[in-house]
Amino acid sequence: MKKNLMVLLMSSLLVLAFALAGCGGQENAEGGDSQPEQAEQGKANLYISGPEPMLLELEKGFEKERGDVVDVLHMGCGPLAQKVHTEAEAGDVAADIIWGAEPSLYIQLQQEGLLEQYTSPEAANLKEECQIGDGYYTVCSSRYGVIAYNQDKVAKQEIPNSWNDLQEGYWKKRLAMADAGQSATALALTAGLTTMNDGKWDYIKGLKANEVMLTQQNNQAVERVATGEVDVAIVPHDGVLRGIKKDKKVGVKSKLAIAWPAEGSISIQRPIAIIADEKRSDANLQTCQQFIDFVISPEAQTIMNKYGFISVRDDVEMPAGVPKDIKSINLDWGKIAADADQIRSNFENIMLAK
Amino acid sequence: MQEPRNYYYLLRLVALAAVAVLLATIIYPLVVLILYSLGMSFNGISISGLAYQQTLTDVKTISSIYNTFYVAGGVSVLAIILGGGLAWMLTRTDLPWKGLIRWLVFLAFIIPSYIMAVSWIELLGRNGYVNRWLYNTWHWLEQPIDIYNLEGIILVMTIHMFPLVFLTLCSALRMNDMSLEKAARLSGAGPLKTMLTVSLPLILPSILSIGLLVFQHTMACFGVAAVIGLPTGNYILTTRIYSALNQLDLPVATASSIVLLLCSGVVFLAYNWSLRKKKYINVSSHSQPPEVHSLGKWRIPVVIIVLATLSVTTVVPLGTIVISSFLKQWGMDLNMASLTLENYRAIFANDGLGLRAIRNSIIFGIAAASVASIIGVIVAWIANRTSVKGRKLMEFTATWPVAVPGTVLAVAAILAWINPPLKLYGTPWILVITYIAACLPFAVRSVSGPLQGIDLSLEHSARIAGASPGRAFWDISLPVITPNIRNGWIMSFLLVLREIPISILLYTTGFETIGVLLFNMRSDTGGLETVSAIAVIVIVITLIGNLLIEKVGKSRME
Repeated sequence: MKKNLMVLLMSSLLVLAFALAGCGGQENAEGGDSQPEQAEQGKANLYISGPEPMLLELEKGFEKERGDVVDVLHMGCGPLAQKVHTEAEAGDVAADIIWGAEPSLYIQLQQEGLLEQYTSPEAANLKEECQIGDGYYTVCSSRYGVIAYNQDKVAKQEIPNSWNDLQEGYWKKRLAMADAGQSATALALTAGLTTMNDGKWDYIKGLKANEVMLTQQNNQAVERVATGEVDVAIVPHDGVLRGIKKDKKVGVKSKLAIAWPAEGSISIQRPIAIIADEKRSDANLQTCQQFIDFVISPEAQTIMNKYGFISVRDDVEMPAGVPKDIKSINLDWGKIAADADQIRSNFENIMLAK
Repeated sequence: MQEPRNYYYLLRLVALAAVAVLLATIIYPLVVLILYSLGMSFNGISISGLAYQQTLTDVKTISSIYNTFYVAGGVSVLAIILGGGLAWMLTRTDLPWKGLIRWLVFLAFIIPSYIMAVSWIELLGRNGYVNRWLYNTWHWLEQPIDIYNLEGIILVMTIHMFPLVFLTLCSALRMNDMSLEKAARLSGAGPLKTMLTVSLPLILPSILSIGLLVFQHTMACFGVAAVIGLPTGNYILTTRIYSALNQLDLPVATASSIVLLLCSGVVFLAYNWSLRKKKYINVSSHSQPPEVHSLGKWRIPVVIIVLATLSVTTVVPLGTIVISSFLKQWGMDLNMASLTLENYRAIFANDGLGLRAIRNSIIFGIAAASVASIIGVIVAWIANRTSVKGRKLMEFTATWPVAVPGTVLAVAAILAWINPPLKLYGTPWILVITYIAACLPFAVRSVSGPLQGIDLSLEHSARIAGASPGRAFWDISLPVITPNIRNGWIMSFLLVLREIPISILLYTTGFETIGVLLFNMRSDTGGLETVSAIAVIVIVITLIGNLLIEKVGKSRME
């Protein structure tokens, strides 16, 4: 008797589980109707990646006059892309604004019809190379792909001042970068390094010949340089600057330093965008738009400057530690977004070869 | 007969509650994940195996599956040898300083695996102490030792996992039936032969049960593989899954996860098959306390070897973490000028975020570990004490989350709980539910094996004396497996405290956790000193928690 009951119970629950899953699907087909709750609250949801103290400072700055109008979720670039994309797959993006990662993510989201066009009145004041995205996304800062090195282990005359220096056997087993399969930023860097070589993959093959050490995230590559596990790494500059700043704060000489390659530093832009949502309240939409205006305003740009990010405005100076006359290599984001699978696959095939 | 009848109802109610929790936390997200991997998008229903085809025709995936099995197999075998050997010596020999040894293993248990990996790189890495010493002192070629390979993952994961094996097997060995061992000894078998032919086979269910958990957990582990395998392009399946997720290729990511799950299922089948139709009775009516073998003249050499091993596995990484957490910069020489409290200050300086994160993690940890422990006992009971059809399937279902990476659990949770009327996404409840799912495998596995070693005739006697099945279980078997439940609870609690991907993807404002704090602080400056400081806080919380549990346990016994 008991046995039968349990069998019945288990099977009926399984059926129920399937039914629920089906329900979920149908809800979605209808578009979902969860947004009004947020509209009532009048708070906009922000998914942001970036240094925590900087984001707190920006949130305070924005809410100073407006009151508590935004809910901010901090996360890394990887989780940000995964979270937004998974939500989109499930049919309901909970975010109102996303900020972080690279333009290629935004191009993909735009193609899926997930972004809302907005051109900020401030946008006209941006540097020319930052006026991209057709209003679907707004570039609000840049990072430079550079060579970080450990001062204790690299003598002055050996500092790699050019990307090509890293191809020399001298650096064998001495360099690191993030895996292009694991990090979108590393994928962009890879694209930059191959574009510099007329689209040929010889440069990446050269890194492999030098047994480049791969890491999951870019900050881990910086960590490896700081701990002396490798001597140089190909990374975005901002994390290195913050590491140096932290060492300065506690009063020790930093082992980290940046070499700015002669060919130019690879410019990786960080966009911000509004998620398309017809049901969003006007008040909320206004908050979103004001937030974008704020982020590219001199006030916010100056805050970001302190944390090592390159401003998109000419009237804000370069962060301390970045040469004023820096040569920048700009990337074709549309092409990177289109070729992402191929770039990743090429990279992995080279790195996995024995 | 009014009372037994009520008892049956109560029993069903309990079983029903357990199944309901399983349904919400485990089955439903799994079903969503499977459907999704089959191409059933939310916009239309169409079944396709395209994602599986893409996954299984990729050479990189196939070689990563091979690597995964190699690593998981290696770790399981080594962890059982190391953990089991140590457990035998502690329960069966007159080894001195047992208390100290037990403490050291427990400490190894609570060191986060990421920190473990980093401190091993400090030791054996390219710029590690050993390589530098070999080079400077003996003029060996540069970097003679390389930790960045599959064997390196096995080494670090073994050291990370053997304490779990140790804790489980200690309690299993403690309840071994001594009369059998005595019989062997009387028949002329030496201590070693007795162990190999009697004690070992008797605790086989416990060994296999915990070995299975280690195997599945290693298969799904990502952190250590990312630190040690990735640098030289040694991919395991989870590396591939993360890579697919990163490319926003959800179908391939979920399909790969299901492949991982199926691999895990094959191992589970092998486990059940190896235990079928055999009876392993440890605790029976005439059990006697363990006999202690004398190590004789080997006593001192053995304890020296054990302590030397443990200082390498525990003291070195622990020392590294604690010291680094007070250093201004990772790897600095230790002197007064290099010490600072800044790393700790930074944790608590973010507008109360640090304190809030710690508080939230403790609350989530206690809630998830407690629910998982209770459900775990019920599932283990149903799987081992009833004849319900599909009970083994139920046991496997309850343990599937251990077989996939945390990120995939989080993705499944988002897909499952984002739409009304089941909208829990955006509330703290989705975190609790997903944590429970992540904890359940540990709760089930910790008790399932030991439960098989308790003689059913004991419960039968209680039944004859008038007790209901539940009552018999409650009074007879439950007290015996209590230490195992405690192990499972602590493991679960620790899991929540250290967990990063689920926290990052599912948290909401005001419900930050230690994982969120850790992730954000790391991506800020990339400083290992801060990571160490957070690890120290986690270790202290766990030690306090363990102390409390021991206190409560003792006072209840009295």
